[in-house]
Amino acid sequence: MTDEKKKEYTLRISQAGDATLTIILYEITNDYLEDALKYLEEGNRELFIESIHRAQNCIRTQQNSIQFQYEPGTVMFSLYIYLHGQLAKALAESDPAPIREVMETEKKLCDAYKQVEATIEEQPLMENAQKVYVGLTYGKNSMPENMESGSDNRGFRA
Amino acid sequence: MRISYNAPAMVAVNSLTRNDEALSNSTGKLSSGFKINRPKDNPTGYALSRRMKAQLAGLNQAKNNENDGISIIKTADGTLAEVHDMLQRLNELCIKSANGTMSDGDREQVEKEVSELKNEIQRIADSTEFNGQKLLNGTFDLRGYSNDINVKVLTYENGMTAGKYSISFEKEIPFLDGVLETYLGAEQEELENLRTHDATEEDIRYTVSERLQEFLASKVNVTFEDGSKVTGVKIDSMVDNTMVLKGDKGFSLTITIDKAFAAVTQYETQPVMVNEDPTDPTSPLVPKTDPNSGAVITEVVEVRPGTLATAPASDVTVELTNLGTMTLQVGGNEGQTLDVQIPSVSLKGLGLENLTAKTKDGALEGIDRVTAAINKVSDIRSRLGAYQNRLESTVTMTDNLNENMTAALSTVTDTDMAEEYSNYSTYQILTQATTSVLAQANKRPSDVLQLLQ
Repeated sequence: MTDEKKKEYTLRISQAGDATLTIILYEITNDYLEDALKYLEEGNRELFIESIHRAQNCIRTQQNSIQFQYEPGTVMFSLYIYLHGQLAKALAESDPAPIREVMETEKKLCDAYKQVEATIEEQPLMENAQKVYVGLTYGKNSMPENMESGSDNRGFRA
Repeated sequence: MRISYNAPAMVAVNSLTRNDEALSNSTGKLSSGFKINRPKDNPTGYALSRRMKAQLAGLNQAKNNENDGISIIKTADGTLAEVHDMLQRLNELCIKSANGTMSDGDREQVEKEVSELKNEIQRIADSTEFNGQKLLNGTFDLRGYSNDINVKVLTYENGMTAGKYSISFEKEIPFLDGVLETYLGAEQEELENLRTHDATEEDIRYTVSERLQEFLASKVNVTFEDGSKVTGVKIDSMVDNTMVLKGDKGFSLTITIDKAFAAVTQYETQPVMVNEDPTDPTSPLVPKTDPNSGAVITEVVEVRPGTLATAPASDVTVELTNLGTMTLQVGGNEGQTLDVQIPSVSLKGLGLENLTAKTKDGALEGIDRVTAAINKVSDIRSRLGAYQNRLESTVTMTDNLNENMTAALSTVTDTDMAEEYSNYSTYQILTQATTSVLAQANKRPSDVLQLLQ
């Protein structure tokens, strides 16, 4: 993942509510898996392993956020366990097929959540974050428009 | 001799062997009902499922432990409800006996019932048990020790830092004839006066002493082993020989003082002094020296005397261990424990050892004692109630987790099933929009940002 992509995600996370955060998580997972496919093709085993591990961490985060008292939670938990296992299989066998399977599943869930996000109104989860309007950032101490805000802090080690 | 090699036949045999193996694998799966029979079927899946099975077994046992814990607490609480009733009755009897219209004969009768009730409370404290372990005699109370044989740590608040605390009292602890004075004590003069009038020892005790009041209002200095001071420590109460000290930040310690505890005798090595002129006693004193070597001769001298009956030393060091509570293993992993503290409800622990309704003053004072005991028992019961709530909610959670993990374990093990599940999930997400958002609502932005590092 490039630095620019990370910054973009950071910006989105700072403004995200619950559903949006879920979508972002799916997208991050798929980005890491795309990188993994790329490194596998190039033959870069080290970076391939790192990408798979990062994707697994994302899936683990999704797993840990499951609330069992809601019905969709139980089904998704089973799915995440399976996906986790498939990535481990891909790692062991250096096989792209399981990776593609995981990406497809994550995309399906992501698309479903995107449709849900469009119908609900959410507040950002991060407090005291900078407000972003049309790509320009307004902070507590910076009312004027600021095009150069690369050094501003958008969150935990962002 | 010619060695021939029939290639087609070899191929056919190999093929047959492979098919045979595949068939027996499939048969194995069908007959066992498991898709993953052996590690080679699906190594990752197998490892995952073994780990989950171990976790499940652990959770099942943890659930049993929690249920045991709930049973123990219910046993203790049920018994304490009986003690509560007895204390209410004691309160009634003391109020009755304190009434001026009662004669000595009437009070004797009341005293009989008081005695019976006291014995019963002690019996309950000594005999209530669960699975062979006594519950109410202090077995599961926090342990503490002191450096003086006459001072014992009875109980202290859970949550206090374990370690050594040095306690020193600003005023002398009032002892009367070697027995700790309480608010049953008497001034020396008054004591003599009462004795000359043939008053009984009990009557003597039932008089408030000024010396005691001064002591109760005095400061107590408590220092922890690292040098830090515990602020705001005061003597909260003193009943018989049980003293409760309370201070800031949850400091609460109950000690019993059996006798005047000894001052530490201090010795010093000092030179032996003799008169400069042995024949003249008025000549100045000089250190005695050895005639051969010229070295100063020394002796060991007691500079601070030891045990004093009337002016005991006023410092003691207590060590709190934070051990002794009942530890319940309430989860499947190490560290998932709950400490249950059950203080003693013996007569001594409740301050009822010297309770008597034989005299009017004794009964009056008894009302206060019993009220304090009732408060103490209420306190213990509410603490047990809190433990029970925690255990019950942990059981519910473990139940849920167990059920869900079992469900998760037995579902997705192959591609087709995964596809089916993802379709089903998608359908649920779209038709139950709000619930689907809540189903994954436990994330923190910081956790997600962490994934980008």
